[in-house]
Amino acid sequence: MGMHSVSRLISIVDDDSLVREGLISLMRSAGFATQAFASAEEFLSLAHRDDIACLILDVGLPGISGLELQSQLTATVSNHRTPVVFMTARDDEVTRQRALKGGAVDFLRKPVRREALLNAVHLALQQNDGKTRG
Amino acid sequence: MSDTGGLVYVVDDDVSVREGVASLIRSAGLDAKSLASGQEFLALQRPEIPSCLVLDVQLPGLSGLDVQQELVRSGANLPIIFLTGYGDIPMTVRAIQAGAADFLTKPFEKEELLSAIRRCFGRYHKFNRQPRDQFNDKLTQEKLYLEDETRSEMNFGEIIGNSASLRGLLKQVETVAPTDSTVLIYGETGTGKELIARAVHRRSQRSRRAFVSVNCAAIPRDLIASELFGHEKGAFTGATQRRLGRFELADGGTIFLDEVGELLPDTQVALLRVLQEREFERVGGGQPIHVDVRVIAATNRDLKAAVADGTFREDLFYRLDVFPIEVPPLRERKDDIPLLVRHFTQQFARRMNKVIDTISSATMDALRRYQWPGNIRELQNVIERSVILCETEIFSIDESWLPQQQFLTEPRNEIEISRRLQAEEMDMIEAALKESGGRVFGPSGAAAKLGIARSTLESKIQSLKINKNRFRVSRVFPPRTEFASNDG
Repeated sequence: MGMHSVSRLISIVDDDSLVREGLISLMRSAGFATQAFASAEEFLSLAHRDDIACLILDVGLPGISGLELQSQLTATVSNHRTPVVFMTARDDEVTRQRALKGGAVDFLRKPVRREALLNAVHLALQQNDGKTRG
Repeated sequence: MSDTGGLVYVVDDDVSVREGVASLIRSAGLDAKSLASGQEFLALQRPEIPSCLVLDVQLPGLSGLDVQQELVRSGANLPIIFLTGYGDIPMTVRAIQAGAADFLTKPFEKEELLSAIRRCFGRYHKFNRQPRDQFNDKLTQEKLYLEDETRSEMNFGEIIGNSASLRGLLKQVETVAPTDSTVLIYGETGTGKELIARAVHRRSQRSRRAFVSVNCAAIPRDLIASELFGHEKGAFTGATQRRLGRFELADGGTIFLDEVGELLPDTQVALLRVLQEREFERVGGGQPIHVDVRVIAATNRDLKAAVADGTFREDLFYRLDVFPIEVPPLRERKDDIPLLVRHFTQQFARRMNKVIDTISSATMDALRRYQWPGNIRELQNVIERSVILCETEIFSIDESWLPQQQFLTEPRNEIEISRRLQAEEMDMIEAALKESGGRVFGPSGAAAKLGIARSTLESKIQSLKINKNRFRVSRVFPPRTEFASNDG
C-alpha cells in the first residue's frame, strides 16, 4: 500500500483567493491533498515543507515574490528539493528563464489550461519520486 | 437539483479562475457548471431552469462577445456577467451595449460576484409570491415568458393575427416543424419570415439547440463562405485565427439562411454539398467537417425566375424547395391589422412608460386602408414613431407620414364617406368622454364639451356602439383590490 494510502500533498501559493480555491478544487478532484497560502511569507511560516510533493507558485506575489521563494527553498532545504510549477499573468521571457534555470518543472502563462496544469503536476510528482528514491 | 436556486454557467479558459468561481458559487448553494470555451458552452443542452452565465471576455476562438451575440441571435434569455481584465475596456463597453447584466474586473471580490449573480436571479424572483413547492414550475414559466418577450421585441412581435391566411400559414408550420425537413420561406420584406423560421425551430426536436440566423445579403459577398463554413488560420489575409462558421455553431440545431437568393455561385455549390452530404470544409482547410443541421432558407426573390435566368442553381433550388411556405404580405391579411396595431401600441407604450388606452378610429381606418409595402416592419416603425409623439391617452397617427399613393383607392361612394365621417365622429365623442370621465351631461359633461344636446349625444353613443363606462375614472367605481383578485 505505502505510497497510495496517503494522498500526495500539493501546496498552492497565490494571492488571489478565487484562484486558490479553483486550484484546491481541481487538485482535490484529481485525488490530491492540498494546502494553500496567500503569500510566500505565510507559506514559509506555516507549510509542512517536507511533505510537499509539488508546489504551485504564482510569480507575482506581493512581498516575497515567487522567484525569491523558489531560491530560498533551494538554499535552505538541501536534501529535498520541492518541484515547483509556476503560474504567471505576465509574458516575461527573462522571468521564465530564471524560473526554469532555478529548477522549475514548468512555467505556465495565464490563462492556465487544465491539461497543461495537470501534466505539469504529474511531471513534478515523477521528479519528486525520482528524487526520493535516488 | 430541484431544490437548488438556479444554475450558473462559468466559461473561462483559465482553469483556476473557472474552478474557483464554480466552487464559490456552489458554496453559496447554487449549481455551477464550468466550461473552458464558448464553443463548449454553446454546444451544451441547457435545461429550462433559471440560469445565468459568468463569461470571460477574452476567450480564444469564440470571444465572450461572440458568445453573447450568438445567445441574442438564438433568442436565449440568459443574463450574462462578464469577467474582464484591465485591458478589455472597449470590449466591456460593447458587452454592456449589447445588454450584459453586469461586469467585473479581475481580480474581484467574491462578494461582488455573488451579489451580481443574486441580481441576475432577482429578475426571475421579482414577481414571485408563490409557495416554495410551486417555485420551480413558476420560474420556468416566467423564464419562458421572458424569453417570448425578448424574442418579440427583437422581431415583429409574437406571430399575431387571426386571419384565415395566417391560420393557414401556422398550420403549415405545425405540420413541417417536427419533420426535420428543409423549409423554404417565401415572402416580401418585412413579413416576418424569420419569425416563421423561429416558430418552426421552436416546435421541432431541435428547439433546445441553437437557432443560428444568417442574412446572406448583409454579409460582404467575399466573406460569406468563411462566415458560413468558418476558416483556418492563415486562409486569407486577416485570418489570424481559426474561426468556426455558422454551420458548425448550428450543429444539432437549425440554421436560418435569410435572402438565400443572394448567394454567389461557388457558395451555392458548397451549400448544395452541405444539403446533400451534411459535410463541408472550412475555408483554407482540407478536412471535411460533418454537421447535423436543419436548414431553413428564406427569400423575397422569385427563385424559379432566378433559376430560369441562370443566377441560381437548379439543383440547389430543388434541395431547398422541399417544403415551401408562403408568408402573405400584410395587405392580404388586413383583418389582422387592428390586432397588430393594438399589440404594438401597447408594447411601445409600455416601453416608453406611457399610458395609451384608446386607438382613434380614424387612425385605425387609415392604417387599414394603407397598402403597407414594407409590411409588418413598416407598420411597427410607424407605430413606434407615433407612440413617441403621442401626448394623450388616445393613439393617433399623422397620416401625412404614409405615402398617399399607397392608400387603397376605394371608390369614394356614399358608404365610404359615411364610414369615414362616422370614424371622425367616434373619435371626437370618445375624446370628449375621456375628458369628462364618462359623464354625458352636466356642465363638465361630454355633451357640453361637444356643444350638442345630451339626447343627441346619447343616441349617437348608442348607434356608434361606444361603451361609455370605459371612460369612467376609477375613483367612482374603484376596481377590486389586488388581494381579492389574487385569491381567485
